[in-house]
Amino acid sequence: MREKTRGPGYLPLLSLRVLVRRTGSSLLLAAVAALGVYAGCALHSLALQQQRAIEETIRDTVIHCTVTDVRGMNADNLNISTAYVEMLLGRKAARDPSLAGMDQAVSNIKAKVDWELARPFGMTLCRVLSFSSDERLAGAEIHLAPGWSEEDFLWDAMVCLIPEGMEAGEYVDILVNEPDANPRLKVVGRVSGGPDNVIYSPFFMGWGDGLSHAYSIQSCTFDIRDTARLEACKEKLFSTPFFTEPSVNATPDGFMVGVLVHDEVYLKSLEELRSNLDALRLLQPLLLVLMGGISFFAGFLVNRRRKREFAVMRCLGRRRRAIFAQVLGEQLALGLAGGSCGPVRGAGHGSGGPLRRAGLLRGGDRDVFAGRGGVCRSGGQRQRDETDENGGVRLCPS
Amino acid sequence: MFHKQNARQPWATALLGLLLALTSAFSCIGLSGWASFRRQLAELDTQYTTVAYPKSDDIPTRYDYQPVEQYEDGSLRYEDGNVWFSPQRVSDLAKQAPGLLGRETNVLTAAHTPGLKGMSSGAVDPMAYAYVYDEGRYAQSVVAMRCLSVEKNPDFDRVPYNLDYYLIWFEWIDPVCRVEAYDLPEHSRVIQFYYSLGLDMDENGEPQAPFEAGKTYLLRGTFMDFVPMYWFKSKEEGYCWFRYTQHYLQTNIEKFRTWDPAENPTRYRNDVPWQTFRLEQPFRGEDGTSVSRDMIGRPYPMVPNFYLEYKPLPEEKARGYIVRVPEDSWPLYAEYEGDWRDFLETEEGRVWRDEIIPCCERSHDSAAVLFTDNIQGLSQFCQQESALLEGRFITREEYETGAAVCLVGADYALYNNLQVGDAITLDLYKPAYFTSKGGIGKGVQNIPFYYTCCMPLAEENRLDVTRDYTIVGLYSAPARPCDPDGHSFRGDTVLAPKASAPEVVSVAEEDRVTPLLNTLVLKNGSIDEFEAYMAENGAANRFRYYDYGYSEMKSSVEAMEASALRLAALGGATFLVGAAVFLLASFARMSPPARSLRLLGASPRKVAWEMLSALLPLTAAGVLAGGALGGLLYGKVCEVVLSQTLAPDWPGLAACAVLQLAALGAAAALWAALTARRSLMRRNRE
Repeated sequence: MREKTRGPGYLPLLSLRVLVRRTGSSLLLAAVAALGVYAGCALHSLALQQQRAIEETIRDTVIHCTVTDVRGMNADNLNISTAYVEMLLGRKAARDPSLAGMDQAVSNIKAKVDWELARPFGMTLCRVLSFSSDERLAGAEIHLAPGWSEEDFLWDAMVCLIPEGMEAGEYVDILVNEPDANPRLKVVGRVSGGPDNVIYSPFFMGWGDGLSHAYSIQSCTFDIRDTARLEACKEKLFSTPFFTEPSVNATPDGFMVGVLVHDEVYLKSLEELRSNLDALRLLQPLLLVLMGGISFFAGFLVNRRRKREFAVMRCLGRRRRAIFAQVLGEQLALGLAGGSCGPVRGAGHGSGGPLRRAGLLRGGDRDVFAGRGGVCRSGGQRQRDETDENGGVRLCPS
Repeated sequence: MFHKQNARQPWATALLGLLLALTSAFSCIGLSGWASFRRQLAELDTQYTTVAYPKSDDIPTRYDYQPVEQYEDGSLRYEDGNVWFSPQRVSDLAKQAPGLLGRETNVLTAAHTPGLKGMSSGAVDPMAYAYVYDEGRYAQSVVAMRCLSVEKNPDFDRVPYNLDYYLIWFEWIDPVCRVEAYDLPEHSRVIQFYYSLGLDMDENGEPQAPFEAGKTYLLRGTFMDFVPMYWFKSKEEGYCWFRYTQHYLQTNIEKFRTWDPAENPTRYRNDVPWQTFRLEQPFRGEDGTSVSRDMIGRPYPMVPNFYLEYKPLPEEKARGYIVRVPEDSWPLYAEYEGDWRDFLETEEGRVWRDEIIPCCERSHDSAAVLFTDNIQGLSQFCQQESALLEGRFITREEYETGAAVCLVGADYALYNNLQVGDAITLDLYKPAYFTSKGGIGKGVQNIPFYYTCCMPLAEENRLDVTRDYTIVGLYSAPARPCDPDGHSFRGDTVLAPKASAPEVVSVAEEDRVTPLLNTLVLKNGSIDEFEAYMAENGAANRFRYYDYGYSEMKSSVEAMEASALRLAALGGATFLVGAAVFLLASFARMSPPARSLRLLGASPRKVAWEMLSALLPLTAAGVLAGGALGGLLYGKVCEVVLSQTLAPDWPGLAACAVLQLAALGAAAALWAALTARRSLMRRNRE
C-alpha cells in the first residue's frame, strides 16, 4: 500500500539515488556497457572499411599481360600475325566462336610495328593501335585535325600523324620495302615533342584496295579489362585455342602464343587482405559474446554486494519482483547511458576517431565509414596517374 | 581467512574467475589480432618493392655535353646557368631523403661455367644478335686473316676526328677461336677491319702501318657477326640503307628478289662486307690509370692483357698519341707463314696456344652473374619485362644466409638443358665491366640504350672461388634488352644472393654508377615524399619509380593498419575495464573480513598479504584460462580463414597473459595495501 502512495516517479528516483551513491560501480558498469557497444560498432565499421578498401584496391589495380611465345621467353621479337591483335579486339569471333566476347576480357591493347621507309628517306612508319602503344610518344603532344580521334587509329583508315617539323601537304606519299606498298596517306594530325622521324598510322591500315593488311608484329601487351573478374577474364583468354599460359617445357607449334598474366603479387596480396577481412568478420560475433559475458558477470558481481540493501527492502515490505525491477532498471539505465556513448565512438572509427587525431593513423583524407571511400592522393600522384591513363600522351584540341 | 572465504563462497569465486577469464580472453584475442594483422602487413610489405632508379638522360655521354664548368663532385654547369647534378651529388642528396630504406649495390661479375655453353646474343635466336651485348666476352676471338691492302686513308686530315691514317683490308682465312653461335664469313671473304688509333704511328709519331699487304696474321680482338648494312640505291631518293642479319636475308631471300638489280633496275645491291673484326683495346695512361672512358664516362677496368699503353706525342704532331702493346702483355697479332695450326705449335705460337686461346674459350663458356639482395627490385622485373617462369624467387632467408641458390634465364636453361633443381658450377672472377651503348631505330632519332658488359675472363682476375649453385627458378628476359636507363640484363645472367659470394662482393668497386648495380630502395608508399624532397633540393625528376602496384593496394593496407590498431585498443580497454570490475568486486568482498582482522589486531601488512595471497591464485587462474581460451578461439577463427600469417602467436599470447598477470598483481597489491590501511581508519573515525 505504501508503495502505491509513493507515486510513479519514486522507483526511478530511488534507482538514480542508488546509482549516484554507488558512483564507482555505476561508472564501471557503464564503461563495460559502453565498451561492449563500442566494440560491436567498431568491429562492424572496421569490417566495412576493410571491405570497401579491398573493393577499391581491386578497382584501381591494373593487371598487365604480355604476349610471348608459348615458352614465355620471347616477348620482344614475337613475329606473330596481326590476327592475334584482332582476336584480342574481339574481331575474329565470326571465324572462331571461342573468341566471342574477348574484347570484354581485355583492354588497353598496345601493339606496334616499325617499318623503315624508303620514302620519305630516313623516316619510319610506326603502326599503332593507340597513342600509348609507342613509348616514344610519352610526353608528346598530338594535335588532331577536327573530326579525327584516337579511336580512328583502331581501324584501317589510310591516315597518318606526322612530326611537327615535317613539311607535307594534305597527303604524304610513302614507300615501304614491300611489293606495291607505296600508299598515299592523309595527314590528320601532327606530333610535337615526339620523335621527328616517325610517321604514325593506324595499326590495321592497308596498302590500298584489295591488299591484305596482315603482317607480323613484334610485341603486344594488354590489360585485363575488369580486375574484379580476373579469373573469368583469364578463363576466357585461355579457353581459346590461340592463347595459352606459357610453360618452359611447351613445344612451339607456330599457332599458339603464350600470355604472361602479371598477377602473382596482386593475387597474393588479395589473399592476405581477404583473409584479414574474414578474420575480422569472424572475430566480430566472438568478441561480442565475450563482451556480453563480461557485462553480465560484472553486473552480477557488483549487485551481489547489495545483499543487505535488498534484505532491508524486503523487511520493509518490498516484493521480490519490485526489487528485481529496480535492479533491472538500474542496469538498463547504466547500459543505455554507457551504450549511447559506444556507437558514437565506434562509428568514429571510420573517420579515424581519436587515434587518427592523435596521429596514430595515416591517410587522414579518407572517410570510408561516412561513405566517402577512395584514396585522396597527393597532387603529384594524381597527376602521374592521369598522365599514365593515356600513356603519357597529351591530346590537344586542334 | 580469505582462502576460507573463497572456498565458502564458491559461486562468487567462480564468477570472479570467469569474469577475469573472459576479460583476459577478449584482450588476448584483441592483441592476437593486432599481432597477426601486423604480421600480415609485414608480409604484404615484403611482397612489394619500391625502388628508384636514376634516369638515363642524367648520364652524360662523352660526346653529347659541353659544360662551362665542372664541380669537384662531377656536377656540370652549362652556359644557360643550369646545373646538372652528378650521380654522386644526387646519390648524396638521396641519402638524406625521407622514405629511403637503403641503397642496394648489386655486384656484376662473370663466371666461367665449366660444362655449360655461354649464351651469346644470337645463340638462341639469330635475329636477336647484337654486338653490344657480346662485346665483352662472347665476341673475343682469335682469327687467321690475310692482309689484302694497306692504303693511305684519303679522308685523313680532311675530317679531323676519329680517322685512321691507313685503310687496311683483310681477307678471312679461318676462325681459330670464336663463339659457336656466330655465322662466319666464307673463306677468302673480305671483312671489315678496325684497329686502335695510334697503333699506326711509330715512336716519333710518323705513320707506320702495322700490317703488310700479302702477309698472313693471327689476330686477337672482337668479332662482329652483324650485317652492318646492305646498300641500296634508289634512283629517286639517293642512298638509303637497311639493316638485316645474314640469317634474315637467307630466310627471306624471296622477299629480296625484287631488290635484285636484274629484276628491278631502279635499285641495286652493293654487297659490302658485313662481318667486322676489331683490333681495339682500352688505353692505359703513363700513370697507370685508364685513359679510355666507356659510354657513361667511366674509366675502363685495366684487365691484364686487355689494354694498350697510351703515350702522348708533341702537339705539333697531327695525331696526338701513339699506342703500343705493353711489353709483358699478350700480342695483338702475330705474323705467320703457312698453316696457322703449325704456327700454334711453334715457340712463338705458344702464348696463343696456351694462354690467349684458352682465355677466349673461358670467356665464351661463361655467364654474367649478378649478385643481388632483391631480384624483384631489378628494373626489368619491376617493369614486367622479366618474369618468373618456373620455380620460385630467392627467399629473404636465403639472401641473408647467402644460400648457394640462383635463378637462371629460361633461354639459358634450355640452351644448356638445365632444369629447376639442377646445380651449376660458377668459377668466379673479379668484377670488371664497362658500359656499352646501343641504339634502337635508325638515323638521327636513335634511342640510345646502355648495357653493362663484363670484361674477358683473364686468369689474373680469377678469384679461386668455385661454387655450385642450385637453380631454384627460371626467369624470362628480353632477347634484346634495351632499357634506356641501363638496367638491362640478358637471359645469360645468373641471379644469385650477394651474401653467397663475399669474396666477389669484397673486391667490387664502390663507385657503381651503372643503374643496374645501384638501386635506391624506398619504403613502400613513400614515392611522393621522396620525390618532393629531391625536387626541393634541385634534383627533380631524376628518378624512375616502381612499386609493383603498391599505390593501388595502399587503401587496403591502411584499412588493415587501422584494424590492427583498433583491435589492440579494444583489447587493452576491455582488459582495463574488466580488471577494474574484477578488483572492485574482489576487494568489496574482502573488505569486511579485512576490517575484522584489523580489529583483532592484525597489522595492515599482514592483512594485505593475506588478501593478496588469496587473490593471486584466482587472478592467475583467470588470466591463464582466459589467455588459453582467447588463443584457442582465435586459433579456431584462423583455422576457418586458413591464413598462415593470421595463426595465433602462442609465445606472444603467453607473454601477454604474463603481462596481464603482472599488471593485475601490481594493481591488486596496491589495492590490498590501501584497503588494509584506509578502510579500518575510516570505520574507526565513524
